[in-house]
Amino acid sequence: MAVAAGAVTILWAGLAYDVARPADYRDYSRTMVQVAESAHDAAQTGRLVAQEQLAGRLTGLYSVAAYDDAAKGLAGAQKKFAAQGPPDKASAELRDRLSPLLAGTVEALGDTAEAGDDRTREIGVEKLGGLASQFQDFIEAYG
Amino acid sequence: MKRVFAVALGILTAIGGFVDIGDIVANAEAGARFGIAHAWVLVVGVVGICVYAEMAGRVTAVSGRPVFDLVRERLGPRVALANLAGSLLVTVLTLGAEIGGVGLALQLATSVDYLLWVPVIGFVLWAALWRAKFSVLENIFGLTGLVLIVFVIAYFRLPADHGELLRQATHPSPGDGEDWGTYWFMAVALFASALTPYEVFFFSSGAVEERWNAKDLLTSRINVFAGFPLGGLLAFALMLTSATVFHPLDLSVDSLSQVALPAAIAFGKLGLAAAILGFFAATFGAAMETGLSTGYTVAQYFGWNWGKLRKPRDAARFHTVVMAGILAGIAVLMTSIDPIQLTEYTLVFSAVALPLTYLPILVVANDRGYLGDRVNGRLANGLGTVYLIVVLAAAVAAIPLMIITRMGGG
Repeated sequence: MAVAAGAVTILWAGLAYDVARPADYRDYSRTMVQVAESAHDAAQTGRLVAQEQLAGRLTGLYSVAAYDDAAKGLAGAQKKFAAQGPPDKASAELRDRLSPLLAGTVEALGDTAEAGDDRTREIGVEKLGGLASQFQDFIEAYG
Repeated sequence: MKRVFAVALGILTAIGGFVDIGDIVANAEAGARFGIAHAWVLVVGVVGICVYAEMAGRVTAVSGRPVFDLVRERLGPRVALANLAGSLLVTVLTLGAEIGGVGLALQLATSVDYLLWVPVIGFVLWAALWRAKFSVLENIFGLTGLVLIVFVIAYFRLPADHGELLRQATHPSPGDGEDWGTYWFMAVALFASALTPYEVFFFSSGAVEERWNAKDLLTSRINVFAGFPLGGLLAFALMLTSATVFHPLDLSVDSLSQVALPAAIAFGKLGLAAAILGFFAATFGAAMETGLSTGYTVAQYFGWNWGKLRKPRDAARFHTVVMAGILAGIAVLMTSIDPIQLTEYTLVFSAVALPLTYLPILVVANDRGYLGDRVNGRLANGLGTVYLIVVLAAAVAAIPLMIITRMGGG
């Protein structure tokens, strides 16, 4: 019993240390890659939904729900992005590279979800596809 | 003719009833992230549930009593309490996840947020379990769940790279951007989704509700050995279509709306409607099964009157537990936890609780006092033991894998 309690305490202390220790470049880049992955998924999902909408394969109500899900995923990525500051200069460069991509995705996803005509949707498909590729490049470079 | 019809109906409802929110989420996620590199896990899981559901069905048909009732009598209240605690926690969490799944399906159909649907679903679920006949509930939702077959047909309409899919299935590996930790985490989740504890308790208690006896052994075996594998085929179709549409795009699946997309791409609005209806039926059917299983396990442990065959006033405590289970499931969802995330956690806890469910079944299925000459043969014991080892390995690995991979995120 005492051994089990000791093992649990050590495990818990290890976990506490891991959570509480200050982040370094490695931790920060890992978080940024996770942010890029979530944003990539949101952009790709938005692109797919818009593409299928253009093909007339989706109902309006489903599209609203699907865009909402993509937007929620993107909001989660933004929250994660904002929650951690860059610990050094190299980390700040990562942040500066990812930040405009995130902002662009928020704009493109919002515009595509609210699009009232096919032309706007086509532009959305193009923009979101481009952004997804850029996120993919980021993930491959730092992942 | 009547018997053939009953057997056919049993198979069809077993197929439709096999898939629940855990299967939908785990298979679609695995397909998107790893292609069909986990196809073997699904096969292992389906064989496992067949082995143990056959035992549970046989125990009930021969003894006329549900498995959980016998576990308490055969292994004593302490072991049965551990069994009850583990399976009840997982079943209530699963019930919450299923109610959330129904809400998400309704959100896809109406675009009204799933949380607004949750109390309504809870009420309808309670009313259905209170008023409707067991066979009616089982048949309606089991049969409607069959529309998920749209994913099987969709696979043949989608532009799939069959060679690549075959390579993924025959050379299982994590692939680009993933590691063995996340691969095995997903394997444990998939395995747990196929062997969810409530499935055997529901199957066994349902057999009592349908008054099975030794003459129904054949029906039980046909239901298990035809219905569950065909149900597994529906789950595999979700993995396959997800692997076809999302995996080449490196796109993870974390919402029900994404899971429905392959059906829409293949068949347009009709395919989308079938997918949403299938999700609704599968999750509502599973919500009923988990709701009833909550009542079954508690009532059978304490020796109370239970079941849908009795009038509610004659099984008041059973119905109270069912209602409490539904309220607990709703309460979990009202914390605003994402139902998909809840499902993922439930699968991990389910994996941990698996040995508590399956070991007692193996023991009872070997007791001549209950089964006479119908105890496990060599094959059933051999397979049962092998699966017990697999189940133990999954249970031990589940939590460390969850921590190391940060819930499969890597």
